[in-house]
Amino acid sequence: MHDIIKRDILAVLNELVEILKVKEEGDSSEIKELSNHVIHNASIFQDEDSISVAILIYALSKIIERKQRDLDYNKILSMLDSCISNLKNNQDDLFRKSIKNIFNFIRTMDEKLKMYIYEVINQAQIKKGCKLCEHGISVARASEVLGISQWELMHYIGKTTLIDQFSEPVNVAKRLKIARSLFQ
Amino acid sequence: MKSLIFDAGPVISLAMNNLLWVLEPLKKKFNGKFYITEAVRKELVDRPLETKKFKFEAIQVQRLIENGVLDIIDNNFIREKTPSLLNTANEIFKAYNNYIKIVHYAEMSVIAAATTLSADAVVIDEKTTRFLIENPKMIVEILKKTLHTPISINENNLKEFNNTVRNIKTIRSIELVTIAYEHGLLDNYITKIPDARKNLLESVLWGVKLNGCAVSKEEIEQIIRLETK
Repeated sequence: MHDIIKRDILAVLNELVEILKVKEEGDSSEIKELSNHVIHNASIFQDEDSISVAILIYALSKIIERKQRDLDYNKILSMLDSCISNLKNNQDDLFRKSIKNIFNFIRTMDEKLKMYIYEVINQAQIKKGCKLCEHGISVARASEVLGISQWELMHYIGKTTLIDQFSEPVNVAKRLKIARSLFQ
Repeated sequence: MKSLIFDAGPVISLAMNNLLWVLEPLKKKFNGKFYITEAVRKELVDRPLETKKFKFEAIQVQRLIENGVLDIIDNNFIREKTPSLLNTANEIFKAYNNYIKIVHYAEMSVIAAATTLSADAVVIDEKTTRFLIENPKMIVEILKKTLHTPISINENNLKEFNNTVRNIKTIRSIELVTIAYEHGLLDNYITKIPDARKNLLESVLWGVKLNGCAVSKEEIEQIIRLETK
């Protein structure tokens, strides 16, 4: 794992631990914001670790938003401790395994929530895919990196203001003229 | 023979708006071939067929392929050129001494197909590939602004990529639906509501934007002004 990636993931996980030490009302929004901290690395390096951490943190924020009372913070904290120590000890494989364990834990925390959790994780992938596109990665590449379909990502991106942030290299009147010339 | 190469995005935008049918009459007006590459076909058909979401849309695209509205283009040139284009494009921009992979194989296969056929244009909705063809410096600005880190450029690869794409013209699904509107292909949707034509145009333009076509609000307003003056 690249040193920059490791350093940033450690910083984010430590911040997450601090937030989870005390159950508070604002936890969800703080954690959601935190999920964007690793996404810059996810755009540059497109590595499995930054991406899975970003998805995990975003999914956690959504679960806390809806089911904070049911979520066992202590269990998550002990699993995060194991992630952090594996990463600090340069045991990358064990770190990945411990991240997977947290995903498995939230997937199985409640049978009734199963469908909701699936949707939350899928939504987290789409959200982070959209972030990658905002950072200049193409829709198809972002879909590939996040393991989602272009259909899902395009459907989501269209509802955001992402594209309104950029000016077009070719004027719309000129592009329309090109199109008209093709269909004369 | 005239030809137009489609990326996955425009087909997705049209499918989500129940507007795939316009491709057949548009193709007649175009008097040439509408192509998708094998990699794009996989994104449009194979992948959604594996899941429940967008399965029906994928079936509709498959129908267009089976009816010959969309032809598949696949040859040795595309199979050889695509990986080399992909390597070049993905080794242009660098951050933290690491090349940023900005595009996907399927997008580069569209460019390879356009090159081999000397296509009249490519239809691409998403901005990164289009900017890469039309003004790659804009991608540098996006990367710098959003990643908050210096971006270096491999000028040789940029030049090589520019040389390949310099004659390629690009349009989007937004222009396709505007042309469909201009040719009266959407006239069946004209209702008795006030400003029916204007409302119809506005509705289809926003429809494709909301389903992923990279077009700004200002551009839509400009199209409406141009078409209704």
